Amino acid sequence: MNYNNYDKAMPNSMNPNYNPDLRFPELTPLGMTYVPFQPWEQPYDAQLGFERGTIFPSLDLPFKRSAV
Amino acid sequence: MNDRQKLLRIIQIYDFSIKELNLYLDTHPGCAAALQYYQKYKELRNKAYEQYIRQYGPITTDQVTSTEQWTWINSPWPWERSAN
Repeated sequence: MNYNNYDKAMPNSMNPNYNPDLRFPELTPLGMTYVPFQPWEQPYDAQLGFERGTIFPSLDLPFKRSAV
Repeated sequence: MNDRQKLLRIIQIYDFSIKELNLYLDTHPGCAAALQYYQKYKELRNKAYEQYIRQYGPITTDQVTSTEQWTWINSPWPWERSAN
């Protein structure tokens, strides 16, 4: 693995090498943690987003067992 | 909720969507779809904000426009029953 190629380790849409189909950077060096890159999606309307705590359906996760 | 509280809640709801889109755009600055939502909610929020100020008075002190009377103290303080 070429650790000098930092571009491939940066999942940023400003990065010209960024591939939006990848959830993770092309290079994932050991010892680092990664969060999947969030894709755009149709958000909730403002009212529902306020009630759910996020406007992004993909982030509306059942953190509480009693979650509706 | 009375009408004043309902309008304040609408402002809070728009502010929340605006903050969510702000955070998303920080990592996706080229996402036109997100930016269009951001601008839409900003406009709706500003309209609700202006309506609130017109009907119920300043939300922050920099909206006190009078040169005669410090209108900031006219609206209920947070600990007053009518503010809750």
